[in-house]
Amino acid sequence: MLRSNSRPRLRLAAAGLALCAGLATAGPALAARSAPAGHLAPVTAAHGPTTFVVGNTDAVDTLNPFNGFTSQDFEVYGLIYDNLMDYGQLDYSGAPRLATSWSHSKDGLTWTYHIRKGVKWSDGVPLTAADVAYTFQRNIQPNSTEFADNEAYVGQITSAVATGPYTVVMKVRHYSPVMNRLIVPILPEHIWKNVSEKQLASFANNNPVGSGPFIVSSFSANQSITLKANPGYWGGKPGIKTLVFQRFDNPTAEKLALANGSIDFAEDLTPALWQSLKGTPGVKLINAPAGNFDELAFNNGAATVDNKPIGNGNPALTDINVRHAISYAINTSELVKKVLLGTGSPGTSVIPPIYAQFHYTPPASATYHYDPARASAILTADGWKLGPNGIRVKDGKQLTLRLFVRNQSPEQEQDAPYIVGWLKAVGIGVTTTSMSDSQLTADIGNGQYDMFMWGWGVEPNPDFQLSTFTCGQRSTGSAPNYTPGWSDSFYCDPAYDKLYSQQQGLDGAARAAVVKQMQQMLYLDDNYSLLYYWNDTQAYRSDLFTGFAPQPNQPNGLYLYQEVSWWSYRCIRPAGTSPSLTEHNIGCEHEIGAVTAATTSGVNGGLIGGIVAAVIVVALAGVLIARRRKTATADERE
Amino acid sequence: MSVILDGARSSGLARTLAVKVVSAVVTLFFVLVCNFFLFRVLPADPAKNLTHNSALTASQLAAINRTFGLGLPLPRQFWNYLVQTFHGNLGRSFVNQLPVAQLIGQALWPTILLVGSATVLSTVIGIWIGIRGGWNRGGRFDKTSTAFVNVLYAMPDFWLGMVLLIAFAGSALRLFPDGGMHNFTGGSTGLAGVADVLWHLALPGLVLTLVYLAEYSLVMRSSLIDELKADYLLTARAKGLRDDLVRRRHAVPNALLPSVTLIMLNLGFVISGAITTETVFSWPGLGRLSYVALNAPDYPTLEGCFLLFSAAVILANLIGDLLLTVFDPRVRQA
Repeated sequence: MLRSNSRPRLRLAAAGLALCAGLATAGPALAARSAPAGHLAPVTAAHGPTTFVVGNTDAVDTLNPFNGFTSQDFEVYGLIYDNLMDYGQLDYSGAPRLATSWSHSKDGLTWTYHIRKGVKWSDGVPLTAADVAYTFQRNIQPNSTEFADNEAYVGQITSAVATGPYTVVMKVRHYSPVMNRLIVPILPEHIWKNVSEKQLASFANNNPVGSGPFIVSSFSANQSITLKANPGYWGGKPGIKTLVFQRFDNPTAEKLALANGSIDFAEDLTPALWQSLKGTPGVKLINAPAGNFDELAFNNGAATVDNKPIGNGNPALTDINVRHAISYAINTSELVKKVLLGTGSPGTSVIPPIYAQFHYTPPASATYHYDPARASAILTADGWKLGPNGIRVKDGKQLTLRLFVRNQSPEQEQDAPYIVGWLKAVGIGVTTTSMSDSQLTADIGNGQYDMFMWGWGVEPNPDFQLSTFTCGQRSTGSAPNYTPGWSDSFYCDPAYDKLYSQQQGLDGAARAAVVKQMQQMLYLDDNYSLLYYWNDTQAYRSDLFTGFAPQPNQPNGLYLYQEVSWWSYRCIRPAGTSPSLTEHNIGCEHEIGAVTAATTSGVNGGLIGGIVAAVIVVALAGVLIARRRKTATADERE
Repeated sequence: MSVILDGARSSGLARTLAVKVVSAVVTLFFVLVCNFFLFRVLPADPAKNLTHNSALTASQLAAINRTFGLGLPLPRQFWNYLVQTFHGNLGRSFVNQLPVAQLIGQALWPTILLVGSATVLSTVIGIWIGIRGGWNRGGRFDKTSTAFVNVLYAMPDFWLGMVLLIAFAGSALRLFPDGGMHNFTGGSTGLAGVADVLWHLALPGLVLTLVYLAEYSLVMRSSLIDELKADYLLTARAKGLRDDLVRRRHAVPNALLPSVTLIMLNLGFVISGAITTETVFSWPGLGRLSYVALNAPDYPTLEGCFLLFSAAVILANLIGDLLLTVFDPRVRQA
């Protein structure tokens, strides 16, 4: 789904978040490591030591990847099936998986992929280039709605042919950097050729044949799924034997389960619950920046793709000075502190900082830091005079704006009163209305709004996010119900569109430069006022398990539920065991052990203080007891 | 209360029954109509849910929406809806494209198990408390049980659920599971499987039983107290019947009527489940299904759930009406 649909933490319906969920650079490096507390109060796993149980507020509802929707669905598909390629653990560049290497012709229109040899499907049938070609052919069938999920990867492909047992050649309409990052799960032709497009909706695929590191052992739709390690996995046998995903509708129950050792990893806790785990023996907290942001969006002048103005947006917002003033009037650090409880960082540009090579950081002088005096000055210079009721007036019109808030987002409902207060302080009146997501989507499509709050989950490939600001994504159709495009600010600048097309034909540093330039344009034009990048708060039993491969590779990288990536699962192993060479999997060379040894930053200062204090108390007590004993013995001797 | 069916009366009874059945069917049809138009008023765009972050063109998105039968003229959509519903096809979920009938089928039995067993338990226990307390009004049992039951009656089920969860499942004791319906290690079949489900059922079942029994007990108590002053009880006692028999044979059967009505009304709501309790204990039932569908929003699934919930209430009311017609001569003659 385009939108980070629900509460930041509760990715309930935020479907494609598996595909678009993200990481961000250092937010406040809060990765509070709990004490090495397994020693203080040993907890035994309720299950065996080689079974790793993940709790989440979301569950797998179908094992048919054509039908999957939730982030949990995609988390499991990436373990059952191998993608052609992966996003690299270190920098999100294209990394080999089933494709070991690839190259393209000089004109960039023909791409050759070399497929890994010796890979077998879980039913023993060898995996060949024919399976890869079949998967892509199925994805690119004209007039088919199959695999709409993969459109972002296969949209430019016109043909896919196996030219040898381990070689696939694809033709494309135009050169695309996406061909270096084909994160498409490869399906076995001998299974799926028997499932027609019509049969797809009812095909349960409850015993999926895959080539991935795990195999489905038992599956209970919407409740839990148990996976067994694939002993013959080409990348090495995983370090755990059993992997379980268990659903919790009640995040408090999930938190309790982690604290008492019923589960080993907790995903999707609310910031408050996550914080309450601090100091729990044996539990380590990860405050991982992700590819998400929430924004205050403005109606920059709603219009259809053919430039016909629509809706009833307040024209004051088409004045860039008013938008600037609003950006200066909002204290984003305060929102991070009060609403996110520190699990995020103030927002600037639309590609989150975890995608370091693409993220644009505005220079300090140009950043919209909190400065109400400056906001007032901008408005006064723009001709907005303070009226008797504290609301500014220009040409007889009051500066009062509507703010729409999503009733499905507790965080945004908390943001609203702060924002209303800050804008009031600089003379901007705000009326807030809370509404459902579908109502808001319709209102946006019709241009009937001034401002609203929502968020996006940004994929490692910035293309889609950037496309939402192009002129062609504005509404289409006719009154009274226009068809909304992806644009929700009605930003339209031909120069921006030109850069957008340009980056589609580039890769590497050249593309990154254009992507940054586009973000700079958006930032200076202030079509959105970014509020914050919200983190993914995770926690796990560090006394029981180790070996995670975070992405990006840093102590507060995402441990699981990575951005369209699955690096940790093959590497997790019971604590206290070392990876044997034969078990050491491809991709596990960057596991967290190496990182924590190198850096101790991110350790909670208070916690260290507490531990030091405890050590001192224990030492003092020991000395006292020793002295008493000595005295006692001395007494007895007498 | 012997029922003598002579010719005239039986035709009267048959007519009463027929009228009730027909009116239930008509009500159901109105529900069907409301259900359809209610959801057509809301904005719906499943294509955007299903395509994730793909920059599809407007015509591609419209093509996907057409596969859900959207975009057709409204009367045509309504006709398709009626025909498909009568064939048991409730459409496909906007979210995961699975048939709604299948989603409901998966969630139906867990809810019937949880809410059904809680209803049976709470009915039996609640009515027993009501009879015992009402018969000896003002006695020690009555005072204690009324106070206890009033507290339960006022208690929100999600709150009670959280307290029990933290006390019994959350602590290191792990007496009961943290939620769900099966142990994830799965594979337990036969007796072990049944025991596993019962173990998971214990806490949510207890919560619902405690919360439901309050209502039954209070209603039973007050209707029994109403009967206490009735002349026929005096007559019964005058005939020399033991107090026990007076209660069992005369007072209770008459006082039960309001409780039967209440039980039948509540039975209708069994399958709409207990959304909050199911959520607290991650119970994979219909309440949870409709909650998630509402969040998505997944209109076909919601439509299917609403239809089922309404049909269940209508059916339970019909059965309740019919039972009363058979058992209470006054209703039959009215």
